[in-house]
Amino acid sequence: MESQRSKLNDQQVEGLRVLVKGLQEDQSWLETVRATMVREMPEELLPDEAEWAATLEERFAQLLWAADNRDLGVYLAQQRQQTSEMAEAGMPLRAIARATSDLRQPIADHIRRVVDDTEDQKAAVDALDHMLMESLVIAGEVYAAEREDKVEDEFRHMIRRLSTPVIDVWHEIQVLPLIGVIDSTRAQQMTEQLLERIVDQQARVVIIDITGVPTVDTAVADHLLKTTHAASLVGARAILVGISPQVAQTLVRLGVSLGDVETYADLRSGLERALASLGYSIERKAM
Amino acid sequence: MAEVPILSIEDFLVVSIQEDLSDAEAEGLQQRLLERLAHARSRGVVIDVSGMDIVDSYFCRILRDTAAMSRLMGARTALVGMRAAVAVTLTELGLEMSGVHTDLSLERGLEWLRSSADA
Repeated sequence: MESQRSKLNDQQVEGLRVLVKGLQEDQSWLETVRATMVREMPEELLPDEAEWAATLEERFAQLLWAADNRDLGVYLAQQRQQTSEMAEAGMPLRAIARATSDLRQPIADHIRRVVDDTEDQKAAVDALDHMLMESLVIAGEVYAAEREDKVEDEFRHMIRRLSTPVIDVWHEIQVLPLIGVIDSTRAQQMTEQLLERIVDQQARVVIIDITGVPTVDTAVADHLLKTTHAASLVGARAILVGISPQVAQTLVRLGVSLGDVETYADLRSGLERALASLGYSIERKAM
Repeated sequence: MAEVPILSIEDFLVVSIQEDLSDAEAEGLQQRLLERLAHARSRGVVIDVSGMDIVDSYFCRILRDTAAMSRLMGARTALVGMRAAVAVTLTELGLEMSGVHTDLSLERGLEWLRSSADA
């Protein structure tokens, strides 16, 4: 897709050559362009003198190469790279777009001043427009992708937090219902949350319910064991519930040991045991 | 052949195997038993093999695995009624039933389950 977009026709090639020549021979346009950059870009992202000169040389070289090879690909790739860096550094799309479009006037004016032939002028300005358009498209693409990544990250983070709520069923008994895949990040997060709650409520028993965990393999079992161990370090006994027939079969076939952690098929059984072990019994009063 | 029935007595599940099972039947029994445990919340399972003449190594493994799987689901297993001849054969073959409580009869098995359930 990109390779087709970046091909140049005869007129564009000529225009590009005139444009570069016009910008290289007389660099009076530089001041105006620099002023635009300073206005739109955050200070930490502004290149210094040396970087500026080097970048400019590099750009001219790329454009001449593009003209020789009738392909703007290399230049656009560089553009994409630079835009990504700016996006990562936090520069808003608005600023990049504005800076790009603000470049047009001063450069077009300059070309009209230094290039005599009107045909050549037109070709050069057309080439300029083409390059600026492509830059804007790239900026749009880069920011859209980046935004999607950010949203995905935020979403994942939110899911993690929502799916590890510790339920305070009885001050001595805390329940952690797990839903979804348990990876090491999540395991760590849930352990922290659980331990905070244990200490907070001085819980003696924690019931971890894995009914909602789709796959329990050696890695997941490992995470669970680490969590139960951590809980024991702060004085709470762990009970694992929600073991389905599938999970029981997988664990035994894989030879995974859950150590001396009590396990039950469902929450109710775990809760009954927890209450019994703490010396509680439930009595129904005559109504 | 009809599936081996799984009965419930008190709080426990009782599986009475009346004849030798094929590998597939044994595996099917394991599956059904675990699914019953998921629903019934039993604390114990009794597997009565007094109707079995031959207990081979594969069946032993299925039994051991089933006991371990049931344990994960919160139920202890008592294997009862093993015929003398079968017991001798298993011992000669060096087949272990570690992790599985074994007892003479259904009654004894239930007794044991009752006492360990309160532990």
